[in-house]
Formats: sequence, structure tokens, C-alpha cells
Amino acid sequence: MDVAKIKEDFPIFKKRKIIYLDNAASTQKPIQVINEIVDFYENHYSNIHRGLHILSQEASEIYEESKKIVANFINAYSWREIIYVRNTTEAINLIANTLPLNKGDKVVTTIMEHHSNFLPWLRLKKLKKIQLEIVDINEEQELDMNDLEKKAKDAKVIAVTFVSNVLGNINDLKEIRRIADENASILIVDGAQGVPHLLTNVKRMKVDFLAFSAHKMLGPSGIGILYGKEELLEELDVFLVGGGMIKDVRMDEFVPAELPWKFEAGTPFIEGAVGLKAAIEYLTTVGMENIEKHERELIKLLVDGLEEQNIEYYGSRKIKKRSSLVSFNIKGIHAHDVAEYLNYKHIAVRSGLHCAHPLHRRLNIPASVRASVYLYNNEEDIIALLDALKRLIKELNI
Amino acid sequence: MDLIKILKALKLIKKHKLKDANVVLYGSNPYHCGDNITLYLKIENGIIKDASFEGTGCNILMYATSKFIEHIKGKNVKEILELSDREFLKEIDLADISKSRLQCALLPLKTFKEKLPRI
Repeated sequence: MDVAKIKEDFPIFKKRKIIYLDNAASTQKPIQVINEIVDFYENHYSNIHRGLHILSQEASEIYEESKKIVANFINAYSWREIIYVRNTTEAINLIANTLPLNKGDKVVTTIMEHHSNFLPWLRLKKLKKIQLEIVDINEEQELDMNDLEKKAKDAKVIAVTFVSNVLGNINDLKEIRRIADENASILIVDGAQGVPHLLTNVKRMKVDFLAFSAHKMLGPSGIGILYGKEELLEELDVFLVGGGMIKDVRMDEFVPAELPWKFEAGTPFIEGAVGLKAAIEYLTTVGMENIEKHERELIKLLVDGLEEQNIEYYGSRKIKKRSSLVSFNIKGIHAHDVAEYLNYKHIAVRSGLHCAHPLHRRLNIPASVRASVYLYNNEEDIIALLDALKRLIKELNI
Repeated sequence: MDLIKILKALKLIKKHKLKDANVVLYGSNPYHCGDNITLYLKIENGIIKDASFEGTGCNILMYATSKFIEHIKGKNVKEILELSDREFLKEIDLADISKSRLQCALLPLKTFKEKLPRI
């Protein structure tokens, strides 16, 4: 994997002097993605499905082609299992709002969830009086599998993150699937931090639903993906209703369209689908295994450097259980101040609660600094970050 | 704004509760940081006789609040209510603070303006 060559593909790094380590929030875009969207606007743009004219036919084909590329990328059974929404949050809201859950039904989620996989369930607790169980982390700051096994008993739904957006841990989805099978639970996976960085195979992982966002994997912001097993999606009620999602409408009733259109009301983000297609083609060319390996090397360098400086960081200590991000805190300096200092040094990181308030409360920290890498980051980026932290600590004499 | 200077200045800041305070104001920036402060004020005949603060949060907030406390002591309540954001930032040497940190620096003044009971 030639990182220098990859970096050349990202125009922003030629134009701006910045070390970009905020990839868990969103990633930069390669010229291939930008060009494909421009080409679509210049040569093929039209609304999809509605027209008989040549442009509408082309746009429709490109849109469907995008779904086929996504299906192939995660090894789905069919492109009809790929629903386009706005983002991961909307995807999980779609499932939470359409699953036939009733009073007393048990939903299990975890303390390490991003709010996108927490609030939809918390709201159902109020609206439908579902029983919500929240699995804790253990002393190693990994998901407590014993607690999960206990709480998952007779659960209708287990909703868990692929990779924690704060801890950086990769959850053991194989074991979680086993527990879900024992209880005949539906397994919903928030893949926002996992799919962009790890080879994802929904057949092997046997997930029932998987949600992720294009903007965290080189694609446009505003398009998210919900994968669902065809037979489950068929069973679900419709979510948003209106244009595009029907087969027939009469004065007093309507018949929903086939999958995947049943869940895509209104004109979708067509150029978003085009950009997502190009992004996946880019990632596939580089190779997801190569990306994973490269990122793990960078993360190892980072955690080793943090340990050397006695900087507290969170999540699993086992490097093979970690993905592309590390959250940390320097004693005596608030996360925002660390991030602001790094900004002066042209290093972009994130600080705050990262949409994971329950986890920060659990860790008993007011906030954290998060550094996250992607395929275009290199060792120099990590060394620059570690050097800047060292300098900050030295300057403040703490 | 010299961040290092501010961070160093923090070591000298003393947070405490004012025992004879007759007005206590709580302010927070809950949206993505959870930072919060409590202002303790002793106000007599419209004059701020004494003031102190407690709180947790980023160092910009702590710095701005301690400067705010320093600034308001002995002043007329009305005068502080009329203080503009820009004047306050200039007063505490944070006129060039980045946009994303504005809410931290302005929280003490905002708390004072919004939470002070109108008499």
C-alpha cells in the first residue's frame, strides 16, 4: 500500500497544510469521487425512475449500479437489501420505528453506543414501553460479554456497535451473533466506525441489519446505507411515505413498492449514490485488508507513544482488538484545550463527548480527545501528534 | 490569544464558594461539552460587593470566568448587564478567540445576563 501515492489523490492535502486525524467524524474525498460526481452532473444528471427519456434511464442505471457495488462490498445477498437513507442515525431510526416491537419486548444495547444507536431505543422505552437493557463494559474497557449473555435472555433485538467511536474497540460480532441466535434475537449492527475500516461480510457475520455512512468512507455526506436481510425488510412496515415508495395508490389505500424502493420515499440523494459508488471502488482498489493493516500499525505507534508519555487512553489494550481511533486525556488539561492547541499546530483532532454521553459518564471523564486515522495518514502524522502533545505537556510543566 | 499563557494562568485561579453570597447563578454549555459554572454573588443596593465561582470544564471557560469575577467586583449590576460580548472579550484579552470557543469564553457573562433575577 503506497500511502504517498494515495495522499496525492486527495486535493485538500495539496491545498491545505493540515494533519487530518479527525477521520472518525468524517473523511476527506479523493479526486476520483469528486470527478465522478462532476461527471454525473455534467453528463447524466436527471431524476431517477420517473422518466422515459435517456437521461432518466442513465441516472436510474447509475443509481442501481451504486447499490450493486455496495451490496458486493459488504457481500450482501442482493442489491435489493441496500436501502439508501441520509446517514447511520436515520438508518437505525428506520429500523427502530418499523420493527414490530410491543410493550415489554426486550431490546439490548450497550453503554458504548454512539447516540445514533442509543436514542432510537431510549425513545421506544418511553413510547412503546419496551424493556431496554444496557450492557456494561468490563475492567479491560471491552464489552462485558457475560453481562451481554445475561441481559440478552429472550431479547427481541440486540443493537450493538461494530467499533466503538470512543474506545476504538472492535466488538466480537461472532460471539454476539451466537448469543443472539440462542435467544432468537434480531442483530442490528451500527457499522459507522467499522465498515469504512474493516473487511465486512454480512453473510459471514450473519447480521440482520447493518447501518453505515458514506461520508466516513471517502464518500459524500448526506447518504447513509441500511443493509437488511431481504426477508426481514419484506416484513417491516414502511417508514416514510409519499413519492417513489409505492406500487399503487387509491383514494383510501396504498400498496408499497418492492424492495428497496419501499423504504426510499421522495427523490433520493442521487449524486450521493454516485459518489458512494466511486468511494467504494477506490477503497476496493486499495484493498480493505491493506487499509486495516496500515491503520493498525499507525494505532500501535500512537498508543505506544501515549503510553510512553503516560497519557491516559481508553479502550482495549489488545492492539488486535482495536480499530482506527484512540481517545485520550492529558491530566490537568481539558480535551477542548488540547484540541485547540493541536489546531495551532495544524493537527485536526476531535474533542468532547463524541455523541457518547453515557460512556463518558461511565468512564467518569468530562470529555476526551480523539485521534482517528484513515488510509491517507502516515507515520509522520502520528509522530507530529505525539510530538505536539509532548511539547504541550512540557510547556505547561505538568 | 496565547493559549499557553492562559493554561499557565489557570494554576493561579482559585475556585471557591462565597459564604455570604445572596445570589447564586448556574450556567452550562450542555450541547457537546457539558461544561458548567456556578457564580456566587453578594449584591447590595445594585453593587456587586463580592463574587466567586466554582465549576468544571475547559480551561478557556475557567479562565474567562475567573477574569469575569475579577472584573465585576465592586461594579454596578446595571453596568455588567450592559457589557457587550465584544467588550468583555477585549477586557479579558480574548478578543481573537476562535469561533468554536466563543461559547466557552462567553458563558460567565451569558449566565450573569440571563440568569440574574430582574429586580
